Amino acid sequence: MKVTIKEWNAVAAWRWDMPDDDVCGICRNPYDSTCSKCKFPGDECPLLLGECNHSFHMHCIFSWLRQESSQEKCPMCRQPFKSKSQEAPAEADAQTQTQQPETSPL
Amino acid sequence: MDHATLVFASVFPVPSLSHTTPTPVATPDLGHTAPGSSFGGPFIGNAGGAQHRAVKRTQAWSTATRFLSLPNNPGSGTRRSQRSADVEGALYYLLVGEGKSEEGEKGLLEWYTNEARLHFASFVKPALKELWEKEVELRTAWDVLDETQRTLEQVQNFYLQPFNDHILPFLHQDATNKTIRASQLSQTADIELMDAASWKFERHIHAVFAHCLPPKRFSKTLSYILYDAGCRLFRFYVRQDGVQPSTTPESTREVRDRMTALLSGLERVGLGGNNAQRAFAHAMNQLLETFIASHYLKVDWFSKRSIVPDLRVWVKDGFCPLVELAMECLRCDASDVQPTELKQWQEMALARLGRGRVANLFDFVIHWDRSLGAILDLKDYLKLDGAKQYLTSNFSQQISRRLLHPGATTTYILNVYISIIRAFHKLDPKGVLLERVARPIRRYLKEREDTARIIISSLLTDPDDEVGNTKFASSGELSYEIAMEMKKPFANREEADEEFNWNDLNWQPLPNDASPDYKKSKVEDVIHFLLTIWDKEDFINELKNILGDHLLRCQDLEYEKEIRLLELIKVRLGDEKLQACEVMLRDVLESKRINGTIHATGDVLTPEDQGQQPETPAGPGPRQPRPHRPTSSVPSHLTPSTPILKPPEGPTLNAQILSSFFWPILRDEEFRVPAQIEALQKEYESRFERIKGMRKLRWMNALGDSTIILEFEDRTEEFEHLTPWQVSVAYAFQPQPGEERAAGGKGKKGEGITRNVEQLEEMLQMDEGLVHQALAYWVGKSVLRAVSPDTYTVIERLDSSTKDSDAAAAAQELAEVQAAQTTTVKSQADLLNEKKDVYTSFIVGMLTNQGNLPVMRILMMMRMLVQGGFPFGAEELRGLLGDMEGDGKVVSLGADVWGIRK
Ligand SMILES: [Zn+2]
Ligand SMILES: [Zn+2]
Ligand SMILES: [Zn+2]
Repeated sequence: MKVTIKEWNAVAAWRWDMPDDDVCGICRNPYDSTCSKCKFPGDECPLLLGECNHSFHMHCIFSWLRQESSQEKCPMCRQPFKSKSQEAPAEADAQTQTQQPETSPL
Repeated sequence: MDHATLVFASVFPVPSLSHTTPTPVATPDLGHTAPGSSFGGPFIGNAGGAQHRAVKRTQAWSTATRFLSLPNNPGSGTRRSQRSADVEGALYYLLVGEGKSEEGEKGLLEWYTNEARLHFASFVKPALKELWEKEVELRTAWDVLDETQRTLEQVQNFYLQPFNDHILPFLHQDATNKTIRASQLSQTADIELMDAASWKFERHIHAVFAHCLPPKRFSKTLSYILYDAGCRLFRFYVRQDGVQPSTTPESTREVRDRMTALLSGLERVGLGGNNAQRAFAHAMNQLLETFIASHYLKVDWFSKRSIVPDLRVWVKDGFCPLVELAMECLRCDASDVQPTELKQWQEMALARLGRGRVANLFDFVIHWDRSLGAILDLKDYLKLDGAKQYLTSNFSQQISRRLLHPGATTTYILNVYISIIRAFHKLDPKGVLLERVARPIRRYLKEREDTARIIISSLLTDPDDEVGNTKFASSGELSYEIAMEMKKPFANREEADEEFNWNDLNWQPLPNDASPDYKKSKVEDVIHFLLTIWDKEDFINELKNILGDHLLRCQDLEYEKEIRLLELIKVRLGDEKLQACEVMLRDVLESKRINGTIHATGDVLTPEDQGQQPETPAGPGPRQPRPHRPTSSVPSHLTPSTPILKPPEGPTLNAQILSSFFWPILRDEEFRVPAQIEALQKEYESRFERIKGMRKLRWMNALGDSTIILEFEDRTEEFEHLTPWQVSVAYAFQPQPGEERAAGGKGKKGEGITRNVEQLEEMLQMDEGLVHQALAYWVGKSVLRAVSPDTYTVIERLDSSTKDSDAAAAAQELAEVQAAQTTTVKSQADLLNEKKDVYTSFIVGMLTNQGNLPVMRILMMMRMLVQGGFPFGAEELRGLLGDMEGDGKVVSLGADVWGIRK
C-alpha cells in the first residue's frame, strides 16, 4: 500500500514567548489575553518588552506612562521605562490602529 | 219529627259531615233534629232554630252531594244533565244562600274537592301507579308521558265539568247580583273571588295528580324526552344516552309539535311546576354538552378558524328559541330558569367549550399550527372570568405529566417548548400565560446537561441541508424547530437591545398597556426564550465550548452560520461577555489569511525538500512514485498498471492558528505525524515566528483533518476528513526502508505489510486507545484486517478477503460510534483524570501538614494553591477523595472531614 497525503489541515496554538502563567503587571490579565480595553489578542494587543526585562501589554504600559505620576518609570522596578524592541512604540501603535477595523469579523 | 224530613232522610241518608263518605249512602243521621221541633220550609230562615237550619242544611246537602257525586267510571260522560228545582235550591242554599258553610261546618266546595280526590284514588291512581311502578325505559318514555298526560287531562275534565257547570254559575250569579249595587271595583273583586275558587279547586286536583307520580322518576323521564327532542331537532349524532339516532331524516316539525303538545298538556294538568322546570334545566344542560361534543364543534383543523362564532349563532338561533318554546309550554316563570339571557347562555356554552379545549391543550400545542382553530377558540374562552387560572393550572399538570419526565428527550422537550411559545403567543400576546406555564419547563431544561449543546448545534445547522434532515428526529441531537428560527430575519434589533436586560432576574411580562407592536417583537422571539434559560455567564461558557468544537470541525470556511449565530447572540445578550467567542471566530477567519501569507513567503511548504526530511519511525516520506511491483501472475487488465490519479504534487499544510487562551481546553494527545508533515510543520512554525515576533506555535496533532489517497495492488481509493491519527496509523503500514523487499515477497498474493498494536504504539508514540480507534476505522474501510488479535495486515487485494466483509461492517460500526464520541474539547472528567496525580499528592501533603480538614476547606486551598488552579467543585473533590480512600491514602472521618490514613 502506498499512502499519498493530499491535504493536511493542522491546528496550532500560539502563545507569547513568555514564561507560562505570567501576567501583565498592570492589568493582571495573562499576556495571552488582552489588555482590559481590547477585544482581540495578538496583533491588536501586542506586548512590549522593556529594557528592564519587564513586559506588559503595550496598551497597558502606554496608558501607564501617559500618567503624570508614573514619571515614565516601569511600574515594577521603578527604572525609567524604555522599549527593548527596535520598533518605535508610536509606530506599533499606529499600525494596530489601522489594522483593527478590517480584521474584525463582526 | 217532621214527616217530610223523615222521608227525605230515609231515602237520602244524611252524610256524616266527616267528608269521608263520598255520596249520601250512609245511614240517616237524625241527631240534629230533636223530636217535636218544628220543621220550616227549605228557604225560611228561622231565628228560633239552629237545629232547624241544621236539618235543612242536611237535606240540601244530601240533595246537592247526590247530584254532584262522581260516577265510578270517569269515562261515562255526562250522566248528569239538568238541575231539578230541588237541586237548584240545594246548591243555591249551600253555596251562596243561608246554608253557606259557617264556622265549623264543611262547605260544599271542600266536599267536592274531596270527592274528586277520593274518586281519583279509587279509580285512576292504580293505573298510573302501575305505569310508573318501574324505571321508565328510554324507548317508552314518550309513550308513558303521553299516556299519563292524556289520562290526567281526561279525569281533570271529568272533575271540572260538574264544578264548572253546577258550582261556578252560582258563585258567578251571586257576584253579578252584588255588582248591581256596587262599584266596578268590587265587581272585579268578586269575580276574582270566583276565579280564586276555581283556581283553588284546580290546584287541589293538581296536587293530587302530582302526588301520585314518583317525582324523581317523572323528572328524569321528562328530562330525557326533552333531551331526546333536542337531539332530534338539532340532529346530534353522538348522544350522551347512547341512543343511536335514526338514519332516515326525521321531520323536525313533527318532533317539535309532539314536544310542545306534551309539554303544554303536562302544564294543563299541573305537571309543569318546579319538578318539570328542573327536568327541563337538566335536559338543556345535557343538550349544551352534547352540542359542544358534537361534530359541529370539532376543532377546525383545515381552515384553522375558531368555531366560537358558530357556537354563538347556535345558542342564539337554535338553543335559545328551544328554551323559550319549552319555557312557554311549561309556563315557567322566566326567573325560574337560569340563565335567561342569551349572553349568559352563550358564555355558559363558551365556558364548556373552553374547558373541553383546555383538556386537550397539550395535543393542540404539539400539533401547532394545524391546531390554530382550537387555540383561537381558547382565546375567546380566556375572556371569561377565571378562565386564565383554569387554563394555566390545568395545562401545567399536562406538562408535568406528559413532558417533564426522563423518557422525553431534550430535543423533544425543546421542540414542544417552542410550540408552546408559538401557540401561547397567539393565545395571549401579552405573554403572561406563557410566563406562568413555561417556568417549570425552563427549570427542567436548565437541569439537563445537553440542552445548551442541542440549542447551539441546532442554531448552527441549516434546516434545508439534506444530509442533516435525518438528524432532526425528535430522539436526535438537533431540533428542526430551532434550526428554522435561524432562517428568520432578525427582527427589531434596536428594540430588542433596548427592551431586554440580561441582568434582570425578575423578568416580567410587559405591562398590559404596552402597545401591541411593542409586545410582539419580544414575545414571539423563540430564540430569546431559549437563550435566557440559563444565567448569562453559564450559557456563554457552554457556548464557548460548543462553538470551539464546532469551529474546529466546520467545513464551511466562510463560517457564515457561525458569524450569524454570534451576531444573533450579541443582539440578544449584549457583547460584553462574548470576547472568547469572538476571538475564536476571528482566529479561524484570520487563519486563512495567515496561511496565505505563510505560503506566499516562499514556495517551500510543498514537499520539494523531501530529500532532507528526517527519517521518522512513521516511515519515510513519499518518494518518487514507486514503480509498481511486477505482477506477472495477475492479468494486466485487472490491475491498473498506473495509479488512476496522477501523482499529486504533495500536500499543502494549512493551519488554524488558535489564540489558546480564549479557547476551551482542547484535546492534545501527542503522537508522531508522517515525517513529511512534521517537516512542513517545522517550516510553517519558523515562518510564523518570523512574521509574528515574540510568538511561538504549538502543534495540536489530535485536531485537524486530512485527505489521503491509498494505492493498493488492485485499487486506488481516496479518503477525506480523516483524523490525523487515522492518517498516521495508515501511514505506518507502508514499508520501512529495507522492509519492502521482505514484505513484498512473492509468497502471499494480496497481503501487504503486517503490524501489531505494540509496534504501532512504539513507532507513532501514540496512545493505545487512539491506535485501536484508528485500526478499527481502517478495518471498517476494508483497508486492514486483523490476522490475529492486535495484529493487522493491509488488504492489498480486495477479492481475496471478501469473507471478511462482516468483520469490516462490525468494525465500521464500532468506528462510527467512537467517532461520534470524539470531540475536540476535553470533558471535565478527562481533565480531572489527567491531573489526578498532581491533585492527589497535593491533598496528601496538605493533610499531612495541617491534619484533618473538611472538604470545603480542602477545596478552597486547592483553588488557591494548586498550580493552574482547580477548576472543579466539591462534588468532584469528594469523588477524588473517595478514590484516594480506595487506594488507602486518606480516610473519611465523617461530617465531610478527611484525614491521612495512619
Ligand atoms: Zn496588561
Ligand atoms: Zn490592548
Ligand atoms: Zn521593569
